[in-house]
Amino acid sequence: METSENEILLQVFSSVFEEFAFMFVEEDGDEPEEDKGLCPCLLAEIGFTGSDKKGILEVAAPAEICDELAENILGLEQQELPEGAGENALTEVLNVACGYFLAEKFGTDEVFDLSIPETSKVSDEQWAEMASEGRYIRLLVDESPFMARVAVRQ
Amino acid sequence: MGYNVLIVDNSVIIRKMVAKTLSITDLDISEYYFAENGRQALEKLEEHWIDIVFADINMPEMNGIEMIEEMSRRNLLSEVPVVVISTERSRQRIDTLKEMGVKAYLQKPFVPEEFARVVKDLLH
Repeated sequence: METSENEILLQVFSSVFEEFAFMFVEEDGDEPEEDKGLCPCLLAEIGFTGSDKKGILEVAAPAEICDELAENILGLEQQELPEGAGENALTEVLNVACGYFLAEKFGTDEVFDLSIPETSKVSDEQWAEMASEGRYIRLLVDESPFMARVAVRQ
Repeated sequence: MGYNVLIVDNSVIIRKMVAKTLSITDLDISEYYFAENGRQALEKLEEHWIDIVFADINMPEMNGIEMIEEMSRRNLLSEVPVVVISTERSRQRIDTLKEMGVKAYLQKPFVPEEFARVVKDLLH
């Protein structure tokens, strides 16, 4: 992934988390370490297709921070959240971030179609592998780990 | 008599967020109706009197653009105001939505004050 894309992702997720959920984002500068007990985690993916380019944006986060995200967006306590709210909050952040990213990267003249976000579960082992392979930008959202990556094919 | 509103989004988070934002405006809302996609929304629109629709674009089964096109083909639904709430930032697509008769466009995440102003302008 290009450095400029990492910079855009950092800027985009900082804005989205702050505006959507009053949560703050910083880059995780520490070396990835195997963090047993972080998961269950969620991986969410959205695809985008423009006239001459397409790609995907992926995010991964512990389920716990997804619930916190839902609580902050809706201003509710955990026990008041609707079923699946954490997963839903993550896909909505992804959806909004994708719109921001495409506008920042390619401007607002181009039209993109977005796919419906899909999610899957991630284990501690998968999380550790993703964190160490270098394809993801590693962030901290209110001090909890969060990963994102974008792949664009032109 | 209060207004009946229909909130169309496949995200339960957004459906609840829009309803909550409406509830803190001083608008008199009688009934909240919810749909997860355009097809469900058209069913609700045929079953109930709806004063205003809030809809996303990117939804499964029937997206927001297909829903608005279908509403414009049905006499009784063609006059119901639609506010699109989406992540869409393409100027071309926003212009197209306005040409299709969409009354207002709000970008996610919207600011409650802006949301309230847009809705009041449309309903008053």
